[in-house]
Amino acid sequence: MKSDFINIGLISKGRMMESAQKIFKKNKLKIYKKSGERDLFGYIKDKKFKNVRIWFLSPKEIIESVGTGVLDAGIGALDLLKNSEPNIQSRISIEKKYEFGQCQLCVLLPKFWLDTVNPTDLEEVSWEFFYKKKRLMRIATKFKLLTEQWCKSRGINMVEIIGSEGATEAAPRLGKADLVVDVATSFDTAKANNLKLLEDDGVILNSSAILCSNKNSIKKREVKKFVKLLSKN
Amino acid sequence: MKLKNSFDKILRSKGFKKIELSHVIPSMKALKRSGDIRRNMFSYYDKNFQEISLRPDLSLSAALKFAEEKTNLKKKYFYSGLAYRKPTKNNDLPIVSQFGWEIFNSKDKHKDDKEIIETSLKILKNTKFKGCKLKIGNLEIFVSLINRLPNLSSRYKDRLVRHFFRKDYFNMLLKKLETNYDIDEKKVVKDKLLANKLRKLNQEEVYGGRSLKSILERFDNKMRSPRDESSKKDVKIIKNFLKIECDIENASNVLNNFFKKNKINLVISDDYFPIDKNNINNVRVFYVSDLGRNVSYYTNMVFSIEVKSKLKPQIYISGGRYSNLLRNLGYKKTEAVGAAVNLTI
Repeated sequence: MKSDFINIGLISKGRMMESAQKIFKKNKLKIYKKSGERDLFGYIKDKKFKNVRIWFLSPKEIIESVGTGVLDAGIGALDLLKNSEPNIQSRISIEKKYEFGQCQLCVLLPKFWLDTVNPTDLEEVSWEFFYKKKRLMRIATKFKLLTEQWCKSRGINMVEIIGSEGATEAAPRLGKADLVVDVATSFDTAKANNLKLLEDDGVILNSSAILCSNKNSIKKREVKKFVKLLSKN
Repeated sequence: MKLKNSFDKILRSKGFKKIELSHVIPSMKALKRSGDIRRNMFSYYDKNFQEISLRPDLSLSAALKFAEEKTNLKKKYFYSGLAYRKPTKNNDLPIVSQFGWEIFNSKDKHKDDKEIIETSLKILKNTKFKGCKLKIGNLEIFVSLINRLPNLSSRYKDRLVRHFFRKDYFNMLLKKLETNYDIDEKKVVKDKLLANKLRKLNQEEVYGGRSLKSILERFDNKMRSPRDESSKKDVKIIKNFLKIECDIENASNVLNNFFKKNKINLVISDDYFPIDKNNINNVRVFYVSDLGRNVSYYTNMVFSIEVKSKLKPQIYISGGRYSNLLRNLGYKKTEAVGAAVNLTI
């Protein structure tokens, strides 16, 4: 969409939304919506920024839209950026990593797998599946790309990565997968689903909220100025 | 084209039959060859939701073609065509032209290995390359050495054999053996307590696709044979073994001296290698321990012919013996040996 607006993506739901909006507040940028709370667009009251349009989207959509250039910049999540398609990633630059939205992308195993503590163990177990069960070891995850990269770099090749969009931690109990790669903050959900962290080298990525921009858009003076303002806090 | 025709002629004169190969294969077949290759394949789903891929290499397609014939007879095939792989390095191309020849159901190992190498040398003779080197190795020696090392746990022996063809990962495993130890006393006590609790549960119960029985079996196995300081000695032997390079005529001597020095109960007979002369038609012949690390399915004899092209040495022909490929693909175990020309040089 070509317009004179500076298009900024903002997370539309949850705790991440509150923290992201605080950044605007700290910079005395008051967001208002023209058509009530459910309006997916917002604007800034300050006349200096009357050409800034805020898009309320999910973190994943923010990353994709910044990558495709629909948005000039946005507040998204590092794990989602790193998991996006290479053509998206290559068009995005990270302007700032925030303190909020911190989580870890982890390899989570059934808690009774006490023989498996590191990636080399996991590699060996993957062959156990191949020889005994005549199938590949299955990993359920929303983060296919990052999981694939992690497996490859640790020599774990005999795996099948299964996409999962929800209730990922339940996948081993449902028989949908043997283990899981998912984001965790407190590990409560993992523990409740009888999963444990792969002890040695089981954290794939330490993630947090990020301010990111489209590499072409950031060349524009006005976008650069606004992004600089958001990256101060 | 001219060159290919002359290769055709040579192979036909040696009793090889030209075969046409399918351009697509079921992805699972390629995956069984090696987990590594899957990521580089161009795949799609057919109307029955079966994953199909453009052939990632022709030797795999040739093996599948042979398996479909369901014969117990010895077969000598050659083929040429394009293989399709997603590039992993910047300079790689997604389409590679391949020309290869294979002997399936090759029971007389020594004779057929020799035939494959001699055919390769004849093909080389038809080219303009000069100052060529023939390097011969045998993965059987490496596997035998690993199995005779006194201090390595069987888990690590299996791992080292399995990952021999993945040089970086193999080196990482060696480093791990040299530097880290499995035993964290506190953790072991805790894990043993949990293991004892688990022994009282139903052993057939499945957790994440694995029965409690197999989890505990592996755990016990790990506890019995931890990595410790003595592994360092074995790593040194492996590293030194992989440095061995010598004239083929001296190979059995050099290897036997090495095994004797390191107290490894292994002897290589004088007639072990298919070629026993240091020079054939001006091609110098060497034994190299660290050979055959680019193809995952080789199991025994491996060789490569190095030529000088654009002032640097490049591999023009390479090949080897493979015993488990067809079994891994879900067919009967079949001995095979083959080679391929790198037509991009």
